[in-house]
Amino acid sequence: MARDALGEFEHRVLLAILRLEAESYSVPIVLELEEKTGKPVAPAAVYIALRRMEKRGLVSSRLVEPDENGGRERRYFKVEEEGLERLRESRRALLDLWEGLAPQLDKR
Amino acid sequence: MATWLLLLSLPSDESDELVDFLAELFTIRRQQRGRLRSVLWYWWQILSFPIHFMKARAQTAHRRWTKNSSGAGSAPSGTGRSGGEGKVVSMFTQLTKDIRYAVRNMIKSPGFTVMAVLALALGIGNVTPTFSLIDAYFLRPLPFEEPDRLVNLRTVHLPQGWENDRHSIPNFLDYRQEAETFEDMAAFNYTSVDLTGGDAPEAVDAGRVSANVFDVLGVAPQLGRGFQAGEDQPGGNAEVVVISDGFWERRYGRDPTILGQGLEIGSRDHTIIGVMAPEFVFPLPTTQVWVPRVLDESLYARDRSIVQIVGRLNTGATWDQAQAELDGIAQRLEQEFPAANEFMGIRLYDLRKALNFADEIFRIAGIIFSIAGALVLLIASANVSSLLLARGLRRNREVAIRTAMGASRGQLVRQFLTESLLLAMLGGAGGVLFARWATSAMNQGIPADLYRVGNISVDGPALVFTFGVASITAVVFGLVPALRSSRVSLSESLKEGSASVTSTRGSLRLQKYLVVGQIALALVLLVGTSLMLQSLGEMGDADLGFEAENALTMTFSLRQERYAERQPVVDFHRTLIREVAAVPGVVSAATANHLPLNHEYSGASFTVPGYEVMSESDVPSALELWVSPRYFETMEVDLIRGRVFSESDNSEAPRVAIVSKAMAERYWPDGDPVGTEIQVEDVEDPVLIVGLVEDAKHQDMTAVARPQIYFCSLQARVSYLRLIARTSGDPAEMAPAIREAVWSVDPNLPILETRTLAAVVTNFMGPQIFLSFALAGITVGAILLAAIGIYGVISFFVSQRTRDMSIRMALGARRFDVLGHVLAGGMRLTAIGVGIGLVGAFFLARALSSLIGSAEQHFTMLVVTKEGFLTFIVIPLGLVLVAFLACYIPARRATRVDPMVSMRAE
Repeated sequence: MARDALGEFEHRVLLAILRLEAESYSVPIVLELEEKTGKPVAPAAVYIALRRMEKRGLVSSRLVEPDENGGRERRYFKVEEEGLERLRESRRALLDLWEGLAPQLDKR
Repeated sequence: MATWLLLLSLPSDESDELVDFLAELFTIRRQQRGRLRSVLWYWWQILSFPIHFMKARAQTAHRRWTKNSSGAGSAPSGTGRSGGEGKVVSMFTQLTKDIRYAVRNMIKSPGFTVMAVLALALGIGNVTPTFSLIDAYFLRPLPFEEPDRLVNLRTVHLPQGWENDRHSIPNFLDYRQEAETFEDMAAFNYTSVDLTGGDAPEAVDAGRVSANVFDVLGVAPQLGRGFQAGEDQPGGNAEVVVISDGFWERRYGRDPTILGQGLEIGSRDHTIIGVMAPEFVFPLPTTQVWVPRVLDESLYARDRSIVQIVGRLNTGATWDQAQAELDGIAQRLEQEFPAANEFMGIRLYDLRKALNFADEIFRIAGIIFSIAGALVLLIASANVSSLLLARGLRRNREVAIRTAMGASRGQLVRQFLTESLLLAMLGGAGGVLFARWATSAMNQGIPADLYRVGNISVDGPALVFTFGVASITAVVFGLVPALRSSRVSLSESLKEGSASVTSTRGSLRLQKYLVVGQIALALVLLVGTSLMLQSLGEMGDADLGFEAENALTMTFSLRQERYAERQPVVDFHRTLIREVAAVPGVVSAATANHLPLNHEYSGASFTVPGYEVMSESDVPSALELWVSPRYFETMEVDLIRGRVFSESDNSEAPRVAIVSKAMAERYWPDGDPVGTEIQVEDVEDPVLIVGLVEDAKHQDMTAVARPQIYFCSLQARVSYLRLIARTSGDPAEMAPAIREAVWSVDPNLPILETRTLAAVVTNFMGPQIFLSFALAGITVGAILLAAIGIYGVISFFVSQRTRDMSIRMALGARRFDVLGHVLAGGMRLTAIGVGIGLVGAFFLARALSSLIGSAEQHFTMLVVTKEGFLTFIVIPLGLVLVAFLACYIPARRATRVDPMVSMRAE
């Protein structure tokens, strides 16, 4: 069965989670994405992407109770093996495409 | 509110998480970028969340659909569920496109957008507060279990028809025992009790109730228990108190160990046994504590009507059945106890009406505001319609191009309607802001003790209502322009130059109708408002018969515990008057059981020698007032003949009375009442009339005075009393000195209320003042809208005719002629609008008079008088003047055009 391709935004969200010590909740993910891309990110888009990838088994989540200092209950996301596999695939595919293109890009 | 919107638009299982998510980001953003920007950001996220969600759902559906239709061996392609989903996706994509296009268009013409949104916000913002008001006072279910089964009982005097909401305790016990259509009945009263034992005596609103009241209402305390059977019986433990959530919060800071603590009420220790939930409101919104009413038949005679009754009907029992049964019980009680129950009937009454004593005023206010709101909304709609029509013409080329590229008429109409809907939603959002402000003003302006469920607020139902109205409005104002603008002749429109002559004419004609409509509606509103304001003015100017300025009033209640006998009460009156009169700056002082124009009155029936009673309903009666010596002097009510009360009119002296002029004219048309004796109901000895005084307004401000009879408070036990002090200077400044004088007489007496007499009178006119000013505000908005409407149409007319006018001027027409031509067009429309509006206003005025006549005691002044006719002349002229200005500005612009410039531009 052909698998759904990894969308560009989903790709970024997965990378952001990995950058955040492999497990994180939604707020730091948004901030990380904004910092690295330099552009504002719609929280709704992040939220929806996380939920969708969870359904497809690319990430998993667990609820963490607030600690004694109070605060809110948070949902932490972790990239699953399936997600890592997709990232590797996509990296390979892109690297293949990049192969030998450096001189051309430098020229222009 | 943003959070609420979010919760409303999201699937419930995800909403909490999302709210937390956004809130945390908001906090971080606020630190980085400041409050304003982060608030804007937050709102934007809220608004875009649902769109993101819908998009994601559509994408998923789309993906599934493409997979299904391309996948071999799966469901037959393009049929069944997948086909439907495909349609949804394409509809959604189309909708997104339409919205995006609409947004772009709105941004392209910001002037138009701002104008339209403002007009709609004004229109919609006017109806939402009315809805909130009606919701709180009439629609929200009472905060009791199955409130439909709850009823109030009243007694009715069968021959004369007057009703009383009080019943005697023996009667109540009989109804409760005998009525089988009722599951149970409870007795209640709203009263106030003194909290003693603290630093200063404090009076709080209380409910004095039979022990089963919470069971009848079907509510349980959030903490502790309600009253138990027996706690309202003689000899039972009645020293228990249930407190409200607000009282628990205010006095005890929600102390969880509150149960069992003591509370001193009227110098007696009570034990707190329960705390009610915050939403429990009974019998007044201001009630803070509930104490048992001891139902002792020996204490309360059958002819003393004391308690109000709430009953719960059996499941399935109808009002008719219950009424029939009560009729039977009333008859039996009448036969058995004729002295107390003669002519008495029992009538079922709506509980909500019984709890809100301003029910009638609210009904009228609701109707008036609804009419005014609907009128303004119509004007706003007409206005936006007119703007859209004008814009539609300017967009002829755009429509033609889209048609040429294959857009169907349906698609174009949908596009235009989407734009209207978007405008309406923005208008609705603006309206919500306005409504929030208006409802908070209402919450502060309307007395707190008028029964309502919850606050007047822009809550869920109000938002649904608002955006529902906005959507309907969008169709109302958007459909005709959409249909018209989408009909375009390709060949004409694509030519360079102005819009096609035919479509311009058609649109302009429609715009003219709309302007005529707006002017007519504005006139109707204006006339209605001015009638209200006039009647308010007349009320303010009315001769009250007493002097309201420079007088201070205070209210006391002498409690049974310390003032059980007549003599201490009489002594209190005497000493109080003496001490207060001795305060420097006080000219004179007196007491009375009721203040004038304060919604408190009682009546007395009597027989007059020589006055023939024709029927039961003709028994002589008058408003009765118990006043002390020096009352007439203090209130400045003039004595016509005879004498006023003096210190010697005490309990040993024969009973005396003073009558008003209206009473004398009614019952002694040819003679003199002074010196005659009358037999007053419930008084053994004859009462001698010793004086005749001028009429003073008491129950209402009508032109016709009602008969009044005054008795001397030194001849009875008047324990609920009002002090009136006439002062030489500002009465409010005298309050502390007078308070000291009161406490020098009785240091433990709480002062229930301190108000100037002028404030009492103003308060009486409060509902009308509130209504009039709210209406005036609405009307100013309506006139502005109408003026903008006519300005817009004339401007558009001028812009379309610039070329025409240039030619005329080039051919030698004078500026004045051109100006006259344009103005004449505008004024013709105004004249037609005014004509139609006058007819409408006439009917409105008649409707208002009859509506207001039905609530005579509050609004009697509102009748179309001679001055009213002035309204029908001055106001239309004013409106014509405004319209003239609105036409003049664009007309002048027309004459300023340089013919060469405008023709070259073509």
